[in-house]
Amino acid sequence: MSIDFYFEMFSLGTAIFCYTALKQSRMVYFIPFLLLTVIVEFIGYLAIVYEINYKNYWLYNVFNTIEFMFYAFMFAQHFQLPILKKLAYSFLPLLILFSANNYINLQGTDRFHTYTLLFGSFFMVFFCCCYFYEWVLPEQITQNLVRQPFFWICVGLLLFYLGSVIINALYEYLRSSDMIQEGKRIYVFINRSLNIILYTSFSISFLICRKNRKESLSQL
Amino acid sequence: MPKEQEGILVTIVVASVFFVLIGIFFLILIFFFLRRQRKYKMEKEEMRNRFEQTLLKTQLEIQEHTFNYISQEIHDNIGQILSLVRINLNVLAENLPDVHFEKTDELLGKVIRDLRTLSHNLNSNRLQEIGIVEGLKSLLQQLEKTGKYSTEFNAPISSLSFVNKDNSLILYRMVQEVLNNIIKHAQASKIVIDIEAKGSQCHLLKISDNGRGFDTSKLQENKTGIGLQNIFTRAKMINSSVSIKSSEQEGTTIVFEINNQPLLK
Repeated sequence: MSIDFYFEMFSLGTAIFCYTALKQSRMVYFIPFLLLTVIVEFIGYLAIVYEINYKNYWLYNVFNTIEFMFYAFMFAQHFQLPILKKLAYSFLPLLILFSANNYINLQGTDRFHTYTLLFGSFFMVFFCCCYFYEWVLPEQITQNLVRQPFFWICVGLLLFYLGSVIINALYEYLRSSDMIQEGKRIYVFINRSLNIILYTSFSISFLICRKNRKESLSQL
Repeated sequence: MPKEQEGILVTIVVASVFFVLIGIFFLILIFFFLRRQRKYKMEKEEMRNRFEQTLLKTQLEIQEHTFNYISQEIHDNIGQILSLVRINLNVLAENLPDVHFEKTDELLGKVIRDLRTLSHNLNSNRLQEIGIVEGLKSLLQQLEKTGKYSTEFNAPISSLSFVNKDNSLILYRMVQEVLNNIIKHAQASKIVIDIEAKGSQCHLLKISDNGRGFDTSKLQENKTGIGLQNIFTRAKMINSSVSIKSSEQEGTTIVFEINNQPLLK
């Protein structure tokens, strides 16, 4: 198993450990989501072990769409401004349409859906910026951003999608230029590093949730 | 692997790292911006609080100045005139029936005494001479003299020794306000003041009565009168906290927690 898989497991473990604190907010949805992530990664790993590598793309293609939908839903739950909420919700059908179009007309069934990934990445970075924008508004300024659990989720997502955008954009080019093996190696390296950042941020977020709950209980 | 291909892959890695660094820079920028904004807002809030306190202090100084002026006028002018009236009345007494004279003389005597007491209560210089503890004791003695109340005063010798002149005056006015409220609303027959130490840096001043009490939930609904609001505002000025315990028909206890580190210096 790769090292990032252990970080995913750790993140899931932290979420379960902080369940009591997470269930007070929408952050609790991260538990089933991370469980699904771990299952998908495990199936993906088995596919490599049993050398059915080329047939597991569909799994990641479907999972990526679900992943983007989940993050967009979480953003919609955390946005304060109605226009941003609407924007996040309207991204959901847009993503399904784009993904379906990519499946039927563009990249088909047996290729990795990098276009969907790029489309989703763009919106994720955009939503992260929107979230930070809300925090620089005067009415929010008294609160400490670093103590907000969702801030750390955004940190992870922003760094992950910013870092992976180049390799995703050039993935098709690498395939077509006889660099498939080297390209894959770089792809795996970059994604693993970014996954470690992403899931560490998630874990920090869950621990902050727990800390905040503890503090609010001690103030009663 | 050809050098050209290697160059492409290195470029991809460098570009990805560069993007991540941009993200980190962006996050740091937001973090410092928010921290600065929060600090600025807190400073603004603190300045506003200081300004309010200075304003309140000035108001209290003007009030004390007015009180002192009225007190002097009562003592030096009205009091003197009334004493003169009493002497004149004694001269005229020969032509008046005894009963009328005695009654008028008695009333005049009472007016002079009451005015003296009022003059003492208004004069802050006197409080500074005798100290806060004696001042509070004297307030209870005056109530006792009316015959309507029995009073009790319990305080160790060193009570409230750390309270400075300005703050002892504010505290004195707060207690006066509480006693006024008891007289006006409580229908009490007994008033007790207890001062006790809560560690070396904090004293508790408790004023209790056996009156009709009131529903303290009204305090949370902001349905308090000006008197109580004044008490809360003044308590804030001297870094004290006020707690009120009361229930209907079971009297009221007001506790001031006076700390050794007043905000107002």
